[in-house]
Amino acid sequence: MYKLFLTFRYLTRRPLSLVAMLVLSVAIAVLVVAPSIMAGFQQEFRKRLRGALSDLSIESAKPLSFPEDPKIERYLASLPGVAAVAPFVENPALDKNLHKIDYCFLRGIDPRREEAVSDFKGYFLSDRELFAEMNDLRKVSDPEERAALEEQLELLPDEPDLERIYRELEEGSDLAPGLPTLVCGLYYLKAKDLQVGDTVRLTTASDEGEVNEDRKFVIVGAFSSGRYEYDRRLLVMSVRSLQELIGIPGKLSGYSLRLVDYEKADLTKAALSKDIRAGIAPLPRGIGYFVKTWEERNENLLKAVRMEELLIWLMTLLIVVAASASIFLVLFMTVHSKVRELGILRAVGATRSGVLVLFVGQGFLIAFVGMVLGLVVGVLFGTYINEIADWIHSWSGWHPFPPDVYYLDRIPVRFVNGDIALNFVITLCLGGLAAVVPGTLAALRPPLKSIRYE
Amino acid sequence: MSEPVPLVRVRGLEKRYPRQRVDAPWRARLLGRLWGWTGALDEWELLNEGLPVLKGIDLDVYADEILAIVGPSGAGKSTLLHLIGALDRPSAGAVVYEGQDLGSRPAAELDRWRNLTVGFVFQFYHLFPDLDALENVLVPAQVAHSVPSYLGRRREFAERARHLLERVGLGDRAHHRPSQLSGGEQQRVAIARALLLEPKLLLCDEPTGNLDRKTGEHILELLWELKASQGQTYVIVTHDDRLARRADRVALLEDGLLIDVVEQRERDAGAGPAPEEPSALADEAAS
Repeated sequence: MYKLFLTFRYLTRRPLSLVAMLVLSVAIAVLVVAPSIMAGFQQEFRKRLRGALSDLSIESAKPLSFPEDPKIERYLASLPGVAAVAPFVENPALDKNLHKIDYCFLRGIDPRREEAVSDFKGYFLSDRELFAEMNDLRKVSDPEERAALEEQLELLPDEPDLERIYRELEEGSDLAPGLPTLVCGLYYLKAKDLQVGDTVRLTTASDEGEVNEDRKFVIVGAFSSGRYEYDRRLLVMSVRSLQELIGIPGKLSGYSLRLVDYEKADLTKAALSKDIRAGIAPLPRGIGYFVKTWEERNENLLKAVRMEELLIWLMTLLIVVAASASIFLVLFMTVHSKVRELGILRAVGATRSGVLVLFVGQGFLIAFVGMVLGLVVGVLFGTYINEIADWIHSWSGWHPFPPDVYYLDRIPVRFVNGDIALNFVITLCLGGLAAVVPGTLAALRPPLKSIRYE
Repeated sequence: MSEPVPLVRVRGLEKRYPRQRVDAPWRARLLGRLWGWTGALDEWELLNEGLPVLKGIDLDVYADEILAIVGPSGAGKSTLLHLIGALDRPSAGAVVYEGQDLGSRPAAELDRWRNLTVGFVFQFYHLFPDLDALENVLVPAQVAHSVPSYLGRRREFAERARHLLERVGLGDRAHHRPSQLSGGEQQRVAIARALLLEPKLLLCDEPTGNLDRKTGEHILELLWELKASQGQTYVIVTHDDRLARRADRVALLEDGLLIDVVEQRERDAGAGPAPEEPSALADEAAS
């Protein structure tokens, strides 16, 4: 009974223990929230990365020499795990708009088939979104101006007219008959101060390295993929238009493949590589081929994100170690200030193990309550983080999470139960250790030592 | 009438305190320095010799008496008291309580025995500063009982604790913390705590040593009053002449040896000093 009672009394009459508890709970909350946001970001990031690219691609080692051949397409589609196949052409180009030379990347796709291999379809902006973005509606602070813009906005369609964009990509625009067409990213439009319907001039080099003549293209749509590099530099047109621009009829960069399960990209890659080596694949010999999964094409970026996640986890772990050290200190000081009382406890008949249980139990209690508190706070904070950000924004006007920096409207949070449980166990062990050492020292002290001297 | 049987027999009791050996391993020296971990030194048998504090004491404590132990500082009075209360283990010899050698019993059993049979009163009161007077008095009961058993008898204990506080004259100060009480009041709380479980043996280590003359007087009055009404056995280590004069017997200790035992009152119904019983002694001392 005395263990329970004295623990209770120490906790209620020694604010220091409560401070340790709070420190620990804050640390745990951080340890729950920070990696969860990191995991959420990573998930979001991977989703976007993967969405813009296909799961698997096959390219010729020598650029732009992959033959466009229905037989190859049929073969690729028959590989295990492959859900869809679409051709693509990629080439850098010079953009000579406004008498200023800039570089950009051209990507030729078959828009209708591309739908099946990447998430590109979802990136097209509707007129309404485009209007809002081009007028920077988010930053308009004058209420009258804002109201006027929003009124106009209401009139615009909310869904992108994909059918029109596809048709114009394939067959040319009615606005400028005869001119090839393309779609570009939002930030390209912003950087060049262009509108949908304007023309741009592009130059590229031919296969042999000769600079081709400038060509005019009409912008028939805009997209926003969430990746700045794409939205600023990528121009998308039909395979046919790009082949014509470069002067490589019947040649591609390669084929994009969408898989049933993108996590199994390595299996399909292995099967394809084996076929190519064995000569079973109906691919012309003499030119090498690269088969790359979407992860391989973004290896460095993904590695960086993973490293960042690990570092954040390690840093928060250090916070928890520091918090556990505070438990250690509190308990150690308690033992030191209570050495005499421990002697009395022994004198009135408490056993050695009883004293140990008293102190270790106290440490575990502080650790456990602190952790549960921290876990609750962390999960609540993580769950309502967007509401909290909104509230801070409305209260102070400062946006803790500016959407135009991260291209995310909401802060992505993903609780990884395994990670949280691991952190929990680590903290409990550290807290227990922090309690066991002073507790053992307290219990081992001979009672007389404590009583005899004042 | 038969001879009264001693409640506690002390036979050939020796106690040596370990002294740090110069060739002790650094770990032991470090622990000894940092934490006073001499108990461990003892167990590792690093020291066979040490500072002798008690050099062979034979002493009987009879039931229902007040025995005062007096002597100059450093004579080993407190050590003797602690050994009787099994707070420490003797280096040689035995403390026999009601025929049982305490040295042969396991530590946990001794803790239990101390809890139920012995009440300690110390010179420096040794109260728990975080607990109020009433809670301090209740500690032995909390140590003795598990949670359900204590909770079941909570009222009974609380009532007894209140009663004891009233007996020692602190009925209205039950919820004061030690820091809010004077030295004499703290010592009264300590006495009430020692008496809570009605121990047979009350061991007081200089109960008035830290109090002024008048307060000390009050504490003495209280002890004798309680003794008269409850009939326990008191062993009191003291420097205080007044206290010693009032005791039933006085044991004089000097330099670790028992010099003399002075009978000051007739024990029981006029029984004379108990003759020693060498045969029984030898048995117990051997065990």
